[in-house]
Amino acid sequence: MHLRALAGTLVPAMVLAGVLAAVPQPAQASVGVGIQAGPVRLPGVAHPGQSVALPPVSVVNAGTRPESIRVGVQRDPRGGGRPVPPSWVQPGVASVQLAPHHAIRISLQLTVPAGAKPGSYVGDLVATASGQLSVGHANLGAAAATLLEFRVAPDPAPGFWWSVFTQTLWALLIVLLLAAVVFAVRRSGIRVRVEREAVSYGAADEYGGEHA
Amino acid sequence: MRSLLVIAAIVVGGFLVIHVGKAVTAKDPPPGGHSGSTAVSLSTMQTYRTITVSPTAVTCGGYRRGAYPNRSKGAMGFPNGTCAVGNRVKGKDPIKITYNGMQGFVYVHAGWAMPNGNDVGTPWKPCSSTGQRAVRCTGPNGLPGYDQYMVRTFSPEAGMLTQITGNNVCDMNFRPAHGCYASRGNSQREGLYITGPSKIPGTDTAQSWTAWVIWTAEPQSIRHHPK
Repeated sequence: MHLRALAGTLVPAMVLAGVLAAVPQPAQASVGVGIQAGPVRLPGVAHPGQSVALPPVSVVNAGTRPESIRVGVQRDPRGGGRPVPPSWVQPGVASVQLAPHHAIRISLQLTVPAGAKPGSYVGDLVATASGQLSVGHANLGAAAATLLEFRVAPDPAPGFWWSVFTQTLWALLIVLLLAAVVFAVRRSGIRVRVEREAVSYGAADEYGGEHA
Repeated sequence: MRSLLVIAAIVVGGFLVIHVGKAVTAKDPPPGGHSGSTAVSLSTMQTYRTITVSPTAVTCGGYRRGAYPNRSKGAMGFPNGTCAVGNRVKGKDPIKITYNGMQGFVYVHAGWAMPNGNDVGTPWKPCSSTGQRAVRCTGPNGLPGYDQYMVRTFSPEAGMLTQITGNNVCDMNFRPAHGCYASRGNSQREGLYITGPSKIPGTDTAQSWTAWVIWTAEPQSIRHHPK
């Protein structure tokens, strides 16, 4: 009798507990972002006055909601190298909308001003997901950073010197060709005689000019 | 004459070699080649450095301080009213920060507190009672001054509070035994204490403010990279 009563009480309770355990509880929303672990490093060197494409950077939405993620440059909080002025690096897009757990590669353009100091530049490339604004609350955001490294050479871009070299070569070639033509004409014996014929003024009289 | 023509020919030839040489490229190898091939599938560890924070927004409650008549249990008072997200004494730490990917550090900073909607108000800038002059609190006893506010984080494992400013600083609460060093799967629960300004402009009418706290997954320093 007691066993039957106990079973009658326990079984529904166990079934209810099982059902509760099986029903997924709503997960707490999270804001999250990821960025490639490897640094963004310019192969070779950049030159003052030059604009070059940096390797693209990969970012991922690690949160549970669609996020608008933007990429920018910040000073490396741990120091090292010359700080990268944020205005030198332009991402291909100002911000990108990403679904949860989706990733994208963002192109980067490095523009080094003509007066840039040579040396090694180090900064943080930061992807920030600021989440959706919740008015009147303390809003929580996430950001992920990777190193950005490049070197600026002390001299102008090699393209400059290459263009000077090419133009000089063209000018030299034209001069040499002209000289060759002149010499060839002289050696061939061809003579071009240019004579000036005296012109007598008053010819109008001879051809019937009128006189008052 | 002949030597001159020879020089001209050399110059022209060299010029052509330089320019035409640029256009010459090697052909791609045939796909697959002549030998047999087999597909190899493998997995790699996560190559992203990620951080997640949940929830996405929290409510600051437990209002204290301020001076009569600018003191209330339902709103931040003046001067230097306080509110809390969680309760350090009771072990309530409602914010969870999770780090994943390659090892690095967890940094944290606060943004300006902005008035909501069309309310008129001067933004409050985060300040610290220690550290650089640019971000130092200007109120008495290291408390926030005019249009300043202070954010401090706490965690169940840390014995002290970490003051955060607008500059990224190492979140010492993340792993108190290891500074803010983080590796794959590390997580921490944290709470916040917010202290308001000593005073605000008389023209400010805003009664609701929105603040930001942002955690950043940082790479290891350049100094730690073996080169």
